[in-house]
Amino acid sequence: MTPMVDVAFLLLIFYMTTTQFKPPEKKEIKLPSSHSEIKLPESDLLNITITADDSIFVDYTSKREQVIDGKKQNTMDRIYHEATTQNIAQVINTIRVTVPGGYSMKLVIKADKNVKYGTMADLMDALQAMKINRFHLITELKLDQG
Amino acid sequence: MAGVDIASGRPPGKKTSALRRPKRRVGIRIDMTPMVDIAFLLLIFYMVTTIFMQPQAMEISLPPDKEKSVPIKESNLLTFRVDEDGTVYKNFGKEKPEVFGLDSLRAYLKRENEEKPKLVTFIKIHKDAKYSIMVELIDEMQVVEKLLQQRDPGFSYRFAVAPLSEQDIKDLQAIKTTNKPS
Repeated sequence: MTPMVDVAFLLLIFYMTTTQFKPPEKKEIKLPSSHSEIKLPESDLLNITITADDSIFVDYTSKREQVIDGKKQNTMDRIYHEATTQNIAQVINTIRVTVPGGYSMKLVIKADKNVKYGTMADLMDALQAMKINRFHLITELKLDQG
Repeated sequence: MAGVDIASGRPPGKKTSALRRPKRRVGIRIDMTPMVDIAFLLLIFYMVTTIFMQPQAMEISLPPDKEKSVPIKESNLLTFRVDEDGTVYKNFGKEKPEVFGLDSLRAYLKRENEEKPKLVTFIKIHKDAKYSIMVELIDEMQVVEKLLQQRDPGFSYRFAVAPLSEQDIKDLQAIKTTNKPS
């Protein structure tokens, strides 16, 4: 039995160290699927979430190493705002100003697949007006031939 | 049950010499079953909760200057119009839009791009249509772009996305009513 227990513990330790818990979300989001396989970095992302009922949330999470009481510690910042297509530019700008390195972070849109195209169009217009011309849409990987 | 079993005595047959004082060693056997149970429980918990699939992302680049217009030859302009119920219509230049099935989209786009190297695809989507259809169309175009880049590394697919105009909505409505009786 000992070897089996050894392996079990090894696996346990592996899973314990690699697990990352999903940050809580207000609503479940069903992602659309695409063939794109670009991986995103885990932190320093400005996340725009659009739920199926077309409400928009702007979410910024960053992990930083900070020295607190002489010890290096990983801290997590999370800024969470609700937004509309009208004030999205303002919300993004406030986050960019308050956060160090706010102008270099990547913008990611995580939208439910049932979101109306109109909401996306408004959002993209707002981003374009802010000179954010490059962003990512989070999708699920579509598995088929080709 | 759980507990510590003490092995009784020393193994027989060995005589301790008179010089060395016999060490009193107790063989301890711990019942590991509960610990292993807990370990497995935790293992299963972590295995179930771990998400290995990192989210995939699709890159979108918008033109930096919105007002700038690009002249396109009419025969090179392929337009897809998407109705609010997700029906896709396609047409070239000023042709009449016709219903298009998305199943053959990739082969179609590939063929058209090979025939017309300067093809520009224009996607117009109804504001009430689902966002997933935009992702699907852009995705297919990116797949086609990749396929064609294998032959010509400098190839880049030119496309634009915009909401349907009032006129388009009227046109599509007209097509729908004429198509219905057939």
